[in-house]
This record gives sequence, C-alpha cells and structure tokens, in this order.
Amino acid sequence: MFTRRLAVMVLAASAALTGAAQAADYPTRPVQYIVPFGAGGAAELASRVVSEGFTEILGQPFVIENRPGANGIIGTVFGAKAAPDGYTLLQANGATFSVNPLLYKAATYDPTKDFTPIGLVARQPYVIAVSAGLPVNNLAELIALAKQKNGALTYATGSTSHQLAGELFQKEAGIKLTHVPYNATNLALPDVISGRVDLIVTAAYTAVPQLGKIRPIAATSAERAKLLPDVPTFKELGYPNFVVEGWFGVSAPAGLPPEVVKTLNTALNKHLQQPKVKETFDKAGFEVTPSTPEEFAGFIKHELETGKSVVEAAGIEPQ
Amino acid sequence: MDAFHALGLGFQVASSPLNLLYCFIGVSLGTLIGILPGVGPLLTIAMLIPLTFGMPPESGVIMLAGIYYGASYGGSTAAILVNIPGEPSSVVTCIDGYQMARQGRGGAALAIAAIGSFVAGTIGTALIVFFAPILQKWVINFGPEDYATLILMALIATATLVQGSVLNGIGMALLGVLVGLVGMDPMTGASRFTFGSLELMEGIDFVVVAIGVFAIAEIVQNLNEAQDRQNNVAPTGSIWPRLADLKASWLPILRGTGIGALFGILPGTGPTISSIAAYFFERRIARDPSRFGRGAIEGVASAESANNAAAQTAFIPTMTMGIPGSATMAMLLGALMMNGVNPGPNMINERPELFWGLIASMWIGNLMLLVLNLPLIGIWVKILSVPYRWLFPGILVFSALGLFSLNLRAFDLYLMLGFGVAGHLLSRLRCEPVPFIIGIILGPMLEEHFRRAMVISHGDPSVFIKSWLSLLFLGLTVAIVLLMAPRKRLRAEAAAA
Repeated sequence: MFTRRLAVMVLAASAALTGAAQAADYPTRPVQYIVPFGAGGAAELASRVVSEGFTEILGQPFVIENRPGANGIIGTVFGAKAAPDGYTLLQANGATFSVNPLLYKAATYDPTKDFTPIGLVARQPYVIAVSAGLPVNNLAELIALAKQKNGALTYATGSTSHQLAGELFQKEAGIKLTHVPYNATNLALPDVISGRVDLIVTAAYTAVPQLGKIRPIAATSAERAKLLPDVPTFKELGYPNFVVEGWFGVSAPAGLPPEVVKTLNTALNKHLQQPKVKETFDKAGFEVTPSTPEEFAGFIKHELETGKSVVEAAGIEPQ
Repeated sequence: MDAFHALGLGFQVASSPLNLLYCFIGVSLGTLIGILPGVGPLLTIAMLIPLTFGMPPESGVIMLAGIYYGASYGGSTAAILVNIPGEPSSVVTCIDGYQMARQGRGGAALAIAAIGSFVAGTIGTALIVFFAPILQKWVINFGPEDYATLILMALIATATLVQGSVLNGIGMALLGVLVGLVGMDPMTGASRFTFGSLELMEGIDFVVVAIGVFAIAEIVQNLNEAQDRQNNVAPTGSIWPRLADLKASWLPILRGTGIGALFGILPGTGPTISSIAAYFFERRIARDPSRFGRGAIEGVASAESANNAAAQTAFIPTMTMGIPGSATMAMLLGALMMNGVNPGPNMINERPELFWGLIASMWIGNLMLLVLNLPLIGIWVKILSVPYRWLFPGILVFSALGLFSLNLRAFDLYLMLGFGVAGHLLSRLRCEPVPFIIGIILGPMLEEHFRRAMVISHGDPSVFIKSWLSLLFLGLTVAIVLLMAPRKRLRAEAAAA
C-alpha cells in the first residue's frame, strides 16, 4: 500500500521535473539556490539577502543549499550540470567564475558558456594593507620598498580572488612579492598584525576593525570604498587598468529560457533597489550593483580576461 | 568599568526572562545536535541566524553561543555511550569513557563529564573576565612555526597514548596524516590522492572516519563477541559517581581546565589539542598509568574539562579582536555583524551589555547544561540496556542520517562503509584507531602551518629553532618519545613474562 503511494508520488514528481517551466507561471514550486561555499562568511550574507528577496517577490520559497568544497568548484560544477528549468540557481562570485577556471584543472566549467547570467548583486572593494610596523605610508613608498627587497616582502590572502588582486598589483607595479595563502582571512590577521607577514589583500570591510594594527594603502576598486573614504584607489594613484573587486551574482545553468531570465532579473533588481537591502549591504561593506543579464554577461567576460592576463603574466600554471 | 561592575551588568542582561529562555533553547538544541553525529553546531547556527534578526542582538548571540558549547556536552555523551566522537574534541573522551560504559559505569562517566565541563565553564568564564587582554597577546605571539611544532607535539603525544607499542601508535598517526592529505593541496590547489574524483577533492571528512572507524568497527566487534555481551551490559550498583570517583576527578578537572583554557584560545587547533594535551598530561602524572585506556575516570574528567574550557576561551579572540578561531566562531561573528554589532577591540566599550551579557550567559548556560544533563543520565543508561540487536541498528541509522545530512550525497555513505571495513581490520590487527583519526584531523593542519612557516621564512628551516615557543614544543616532543617508549617496553616485557 505504502509502496504504491510512494511510486505514484515519485512518478508525479518526475513528471513535474521533466520539461521546462512555463514562463507565465514560473515559479510554481520551490527553487534551489546553490551557494558553493560553506555556511558563514561573506557569501552567506549575499546569498541570504538574494534568496529572501526572490521568495518575497516571486512567492515561492527560494532555498539556499550550501555545497562547499574545493574553493567553490564543487558547488559550481554541480550548478553547471543542473537542468536549465529555472528551479536550480547558482550563486556566482569572483573566485569561482574569474579565478578558479584559470588556476585549477578541476574547474572544468567555462564561465562564459556553461551558465546563464541573471544579474549582478553586489561588489566588494578590496584594499591592500600593510602591517602597522612596516615603514611605508603610501603606495609609492610600498613599491619602492618592494623593489628594494626584491621578492622578500610577503603578502597574505584569504581567497583566490584576493590572490588575483595581489598578482595584478605585482604585474602593474613591476614588483615581486611572496604569496602566503590562507584558507580564510581571519587566519591571516594575527600573522599580519604581528608583522610576520608584511601585507594583506582583504575586503575593506575586514580591514576596518583592524585599523591601527594594519594600515590600508590603496583600494583596488574603481571608486573609493565607502567604509574607507580616506584610502585612495589604484586608479587615482596612476594605475588606471588596476580594477579588481570581489563580486556576487546570480546565475543558472546554460539554456535557461529568456522569459525566466527576465522574470528573475526583474525581481532581483527590484529587491536590490529597496533601501533596507541597500543598508544591509552597506553595513557589510558591499556596494549594491543591479544590472541586466547582458551587462552581467559582459562583466563576467571582462573579469575572466583580466584574470587571464594576470595569470599568464605571472606564469601560473593550472593545477 | 571594573570587572565586577561589568559582570553585574552582564548578569542583569543575561537573567532577563527572555534571555534565559533563549539560553535554554540554545543549550538544549546544542546538546541534541552534539549527540547526533553529522549535524554539528556550525550548520545549526547557520540555519538559525535568520531567526535572530528579529531579536535584540544579545538574545541572538546568547542562543547561538548556547548551541556552540552545548554541542560539546552532547558530543561527550555520544563518545561515552556508543564510542562515536561527536566532535574532534570528543575523540579522547572515547578512550576511557566508552570503556567505563562497557563496565557499567557509564552513568558515572557522564556525570563526571558534566560536572567537569561545568567547573571548566565556570573557571573559563572567570578567566575571560580577568585575563582577556593578556590571553589576547598570547594569540598574536603564536606564529605558524609555533603552531606547527605544537601540532607535531600533540600528534606524537597521541601516538604514545596507545595500549600497544609506541611504534604502532606513531605508524597509525602517520597513516592518519596520509589519509588526511587526500584532497586539494591547500596552497597550490593541486589534487592529491583523489583519483579524479570530484568528491574526494574536498578531502575526507572527520565525521566519515569517526563513524566508520569508531562506530561501525565497534559494532562489528561487539556482534562478534555476542555471547559475552550479555554479561557485560548490566549496570551494577548506582548510576551516580561514587565518592571515590569524585575525589579522583577533582584535580584532573582543574588541570584539564587550565590546559584547555590556554590552548583553546589558539585559533583552529584549540579544542582538539586541548583535550589531547590534558589527557596526556593526566596519564603522564598518574600513579598507575596502565589504568588509562581501561576506564580511568581521570581520563574522562581531564579531557572533558579541557575541551569545555577551550570552547569558552575560544570566544576571546573572536570577541576581543574580531578574529574568529574556527568556522563556527566565524559564523557567530557573522551573526553579530549581521545584527549590526562589530566585534573587535571596541566592542567591549561600545556594547558592554552585549559582551558582558554573553559572558554571564555562558556561565548560566553551563549551569543549565549541568541541570539538564544529570537527570538525563538515567535515561541514557536505560538506553544502553536495550538489547543490542535493537541498539546497534539504531546507532547505524542515526549515524548514517547525520552523515548524509552534511552533503546530501551517497558517496559519503560508501566512504563510511569503507572506513568501517578498514576500522575492523585495524582492530583485528590490534592497531589503535585514536592516533589514526587524530592524524587525519591534525595532519592537514600540521602541513598548512609548516608550509606557511617555510614560505614566510623564505625556505629557512631555522625559524623552528629561533622561536622560543617552537623550540619548547620540539623539546617536549622529544621528551615525550623518550619518556613514553621505555615504559611501554618494560610493561610489554612484563606482560609477556
């Protein structure tokens, strides 16, 4: 008796799963939102705000599913392979889309082909900060010191997108630094504070509570970070090509019907315009950046190309 | 504001009926998930953070923190009763705790674990209040070379804790390190020992090995000895600890607390190393070390006190410096930030009611856990007396469910079965599982810190000798091997004679 009911349920469910969603009714059941990182961290806030927004505006529960592992590769690969019916979405971010395909052979996905971009959510400015004990007060002095030490200066990173900023810094300034990777920024902080490591590339947001122990030298974004308005950007300091930011966006497997993309994008941007949402992101050091799907696609391409040139210049081979 | 005044404020905040309720919910939930293998405090805290948005930040943090240290109470329950370490810090509790349960003294073990944890929690809280600034400096002084040698010391110490030969123990620890290396290279991202499998790229999870090697192997062994089991299970006498137990435990509890408080502050490594160090220390200074591993109450008392003290002091770097020591702490930090609080050096001044309220509620939470857990012991012991043919499928099902809930994939379950087979082989070959699993936990950490130390020193290995802390730990490592080995040989010879 029970098995018969179970069989009917399974048949019904599989019938519902096959076939693309009807655009007019989308969504008609809960949607899975894959976040390729573990619970906690910057990804958490961004994904939570987005899923709550979708749930509120589109009326169906959008459920976060954390699939961590391999610097985000595992979750992203899973997202790429899912059915493009609009019921599985993926959080895209700088690390998984712009950096991992260049550094890891295991990242078998192509960020420009295997996904349907839906929209950008927010960008996060990074800063390059030095340990308080290092005798440099501005970028020019830092570059001079780096040239003098010829590779002996160390810089810490908590994620691969920080590393990209660090490599770009070396390329643009013509210097060599020694990279010290950490699994998370919070593990790097004691070493930078104590001066064991000289520099750190981190989000402006993380640097603020540590001001006094570390000294931000320059911001890597196009405009000054709202949380650190006194820190000049690389662009201002004479490096107009140097723009790197952490970013989060929403994407889906390739082949999503355009009507569904439009529905999601409109809902996303509507949610991002709300002052309450802007405030939440501002407090966390993010800058909300609504976009159209085409703009997002262009953005991803641009980020990937920046990454490629940096990785090639640095001579890093994919592992 | 002086410490007493601040504490007074804290207790005022923490004893409001609302906060008491949240504290209670937090610790109860924490205990529950601590007992179930798989789902841990990290996941639970992550899921409950949205609930805290509607509450005042103190209440939210009190509840989430309650889950965190409640989980270590629950973890020790599982370790003692069914030999499944719920958390890495409960592994050491399995050694003597489970043996005590098999001898019918499970109730005493649970009670001493609860009492020890409470004492540790109380003292730990006091330490936070009075010594936070000093302890903070301690964290900054620890460089990667110091972490590396400290972990090496803990690894070797664990290897010498075994019943068999020290060589066997070291071999198992190294095997554990090897298994722990499976996955992505933390620095370069290269895949190691993954055989092209995407799932293995994450590495092998502690829970998988814990259930496979500890639970499954133990169940298989018990089923093998089915005839003898009937005689062993019946609990004899009172389930409460005897006076002798209490007398024997109070010093180990204090010592464990001290060691745990000290190591708990170190990010990442703290809680696991604390219990190992405390257990090892206790065994080293015991009058009759051969009792350890066979149900010595001191082993349970020291390990449990250490890991609870470590759980408390782990809050120090998180709250006072904004530097979380573990993923769970990072979550708590994130929860605070999402609620508009910025943990860091200024938090004590800007939001004294939150900081001291949290401290006070930690003490209240520990009290609640003691009151909660002691009566439950009777229920747990009754569960133990369920006929084994009903008990072990239940254990297996819960373990598998808990493991599956982590990543929602069958691969983990296959891996668990594989480790179950391996665990059975190991016990047949009289190889100890404890150094093996500790090797899996500590191996990757050791590698990370060692390589980082080498990168920072630009390839110069003398950094391990230049730091006095590192030199100290290296010296202790050598001392441990020298001290433990001959005793083992003598005992083995005596046993053979």
